[in-house]
Amino acid sequence: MTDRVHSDGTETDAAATQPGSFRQVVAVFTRDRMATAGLIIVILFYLIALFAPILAPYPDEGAGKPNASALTQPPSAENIMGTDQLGRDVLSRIIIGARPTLLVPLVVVALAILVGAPLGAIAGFRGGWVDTVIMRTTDLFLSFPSLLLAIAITAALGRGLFNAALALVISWWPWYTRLVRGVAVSVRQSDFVEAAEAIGLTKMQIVRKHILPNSVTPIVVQATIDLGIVIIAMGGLAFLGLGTQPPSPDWGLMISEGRSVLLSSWWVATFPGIAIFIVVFCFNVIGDALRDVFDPRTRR
Amino acid sequence: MRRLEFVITRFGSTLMVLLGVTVITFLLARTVPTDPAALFLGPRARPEEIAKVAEQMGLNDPLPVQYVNYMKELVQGDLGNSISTKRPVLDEIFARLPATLELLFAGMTTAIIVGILIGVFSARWKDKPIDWGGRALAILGVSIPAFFLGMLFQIVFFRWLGWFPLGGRTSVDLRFTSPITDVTGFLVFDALITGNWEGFKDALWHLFLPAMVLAAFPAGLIARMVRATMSDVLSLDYIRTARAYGQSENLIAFKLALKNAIGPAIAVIGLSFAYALTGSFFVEIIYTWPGLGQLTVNALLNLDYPLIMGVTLLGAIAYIAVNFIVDIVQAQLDPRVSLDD
Amino acid sequence: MTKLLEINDLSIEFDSGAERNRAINNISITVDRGEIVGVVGESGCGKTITGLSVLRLLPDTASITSGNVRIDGDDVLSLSNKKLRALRGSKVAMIFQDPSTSLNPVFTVASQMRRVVKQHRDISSAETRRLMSERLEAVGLSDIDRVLAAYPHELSGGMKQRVMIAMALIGEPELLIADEPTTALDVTVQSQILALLMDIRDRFDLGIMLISHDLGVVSQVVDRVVVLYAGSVVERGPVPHFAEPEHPYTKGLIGSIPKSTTERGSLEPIEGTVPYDPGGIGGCVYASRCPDRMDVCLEAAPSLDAVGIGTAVACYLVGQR
Repeated sequence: MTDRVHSDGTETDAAATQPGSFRQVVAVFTRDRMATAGLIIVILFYLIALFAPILAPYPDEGAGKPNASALTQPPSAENIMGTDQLGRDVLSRIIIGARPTLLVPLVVVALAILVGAPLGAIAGFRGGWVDTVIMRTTDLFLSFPSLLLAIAITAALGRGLFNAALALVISWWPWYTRLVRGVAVSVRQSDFVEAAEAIGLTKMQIVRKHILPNSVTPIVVQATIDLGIVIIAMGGLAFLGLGTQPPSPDWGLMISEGRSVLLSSWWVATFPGIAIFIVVFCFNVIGDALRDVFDPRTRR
Repeated sequence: MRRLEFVITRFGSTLMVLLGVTVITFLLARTVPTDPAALFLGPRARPEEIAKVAEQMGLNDPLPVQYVNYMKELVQGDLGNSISTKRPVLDEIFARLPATLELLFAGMTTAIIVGILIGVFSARWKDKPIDWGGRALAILGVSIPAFFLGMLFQIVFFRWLGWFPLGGRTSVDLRFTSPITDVTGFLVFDALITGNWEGFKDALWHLFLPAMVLAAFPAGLIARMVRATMSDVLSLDYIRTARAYGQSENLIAFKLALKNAIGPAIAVIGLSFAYALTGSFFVEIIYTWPGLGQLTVNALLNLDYPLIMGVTLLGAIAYIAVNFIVDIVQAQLDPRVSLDD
Repeated sequence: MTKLLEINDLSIEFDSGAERNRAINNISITVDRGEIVGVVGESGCGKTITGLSVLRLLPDTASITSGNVRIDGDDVLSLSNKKLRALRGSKVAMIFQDPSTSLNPVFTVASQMRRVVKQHRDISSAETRRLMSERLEAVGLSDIDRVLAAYPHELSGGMKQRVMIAMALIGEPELLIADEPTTALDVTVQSQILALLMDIRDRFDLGIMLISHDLGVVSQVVDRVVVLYAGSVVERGPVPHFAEPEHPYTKGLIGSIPKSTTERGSLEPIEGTVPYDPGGIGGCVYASRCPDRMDVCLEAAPSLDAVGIGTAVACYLVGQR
């Protein structure tokens, strides 16, 4: 079917994707100011997630403790983003909620790569029936709209942050299998692998020394864009009540909770929404910049 | 004809994928949840009853046998009964389908038109202000989650500006003033063919915001893809030929290059549809749109597994069907496709 | 009398953002009606860029920094976009190296030719059809209806190049720029296309600028040769002059052409490669590869001096003689 299309809709001609070094990735940021700004903002958000309990003005409320004395207050000096229906400081909830919202997708994408990439390398390098079995399996998983499959799996496993994350890993690994297989196939056909075989490297060594290193750049580019998509997907699962469970905070869940008071107290849903938008926007800007450089298709 | 051959082989492989998809939904439906029999009977069922129902439901048979039975039922259109309403899942789905299809159709049509326009204009004026604007719009589209954009639009267009309604498919009082006769289930269309002008305006007015929200993400995807393929094509030799023979830049971009670029670009339409499909879940909840998404979300709350798996299976089938159609259209657009890979 | 094509002191620079390279350095070439001029050099010498500059088809990264291009005395570089488009494909036509990538794959031959007709001629559709058929016949194609209805991929390479030439003839051009028109074709087809070029030159009184890397091939059909190396003209003259060329580079070019009489092992490639930024070289552009290099060659570039009627060489060795 749509064999070379990625989760963000781009197509990569794997044979044409040149293996780039980490230094080239760094070079992108020294040249593209938008990408640099995006990277700084993303890093900032992740630092906030890491040091959330220290940074949150009201860590207890952030974690879920109601405050009956300040129900749905508009933004003010004490609560610069207002409070929600249970009187909790929205800013604190956003800061504490950054952990499940931002850190979990990072783990999800990392696990998807860990599962998907080696399978893709094996499929592309071994060829034959191994390739067929692995790729038909990925085809199967990719026959579902990824988020729909994740919803079904979460429903089957039971709701909760862990199961939602697991479901997303199960739905996302095939994208990386496909990506790395493309690299592996083109590497296999190149001369230096023939040379490597000639000097007696084993297949595993070739996979480790040539295919995986060559896959790093395409994976980094893809993962950057995927992170934005997975953050939205994760937020979506939380919004549907399948991810983080109350009273824990999560931006998707907060938007969902803010819906019942949307018209009277816009700030409850709007601030977490803006937060999620900023992070995803930055990931997309970075991803675009990286892709412009590393995907020869769009470079001209 | 090779073209026909192509369609048939693609159709064959599509059937194989469909078969595989049923294996996954079967496994999800029968093995992962705690105990389908217990779920079916509810929390107060006694163990003997559960055992009996489990026997009746064939849950004690080996998995392959269960799968064969599952397929037998599936082929007859039997997806089991909803746990909460006890009605057949397929009936529940079909009752809600037109509302969702109307939304998806409006959203995808908008996304395709807007996405292609943005992409082509961006590529035609590459690295000019029009391109910057187009790229910004495309990134914006893929960066705002539907569940946030939907609420943002409600605040802006309902609360502040009052231009559009908060939700629903029609106004409440429309039922009394000029009710829409149900013909196809697509309200806008039904109102139009029955000459119900008031109903048409009202339904369209209600459709607008949800369709726009749904279109945002797919439109962004399509715009990026069209821009990329158009930029590729515009740098090719035959475009230089067209320039060398005095063709105008507008003719080159909007006709000569577009016809080449559109084929590869529409590969992304299948994927856009997948995002729109799941996006409709959020849009339907936010805009109280009585479609499949709402049904599914309620099913998630009630742990109505037969219904969830029914929707999942149908979603996969729809996605596969769209990809199949996209493949055929792509092949149709390109006279070079030898149609054998 | 003004020449059909005059390129005077043309320089072209490429700006890759980080650096600027001078790809073409003060070259002058003329082509007259009824004459075929060969522009010869290795790949990367700036032949194609020179050809593209005549119709201002250079990529965005290239800019013309000095000189001018005149068609019948009119400066092409200062034409308005509208006039430029009227010139392209009518008075000046161009054919390219690879006919299979030069025709748009998703339009039929008829549709692509018709668009050129529409651009330059105001005639009825019946007349258009007749004109297209005439031109296709003129380039030696038969079964015209089938060719017109075909998509490019349904034609052979030679047929595609003939279609390109037919397309070039639609606007009744006076000048044809042929950029390596035979390189992508089989050897037997190559000679047919070259014969066709001579034929249409005679019939339409065309001036042809034939760009090629193959001096041997070019010398069979052209009247004069301009040898380009690293963006500079190093030698030019009528074909007979090239039986014994004087510039070391031209000698090298001839030495690297396989001949039936060449003994095994005596084929001599020119060592080294074309310099990347010839504009930045102080001395002779060929000095880095020249077998006869002298000290003076590294200090200043030799001027292109006449050594006979219509013959000029840019080499200190020749000047000394």
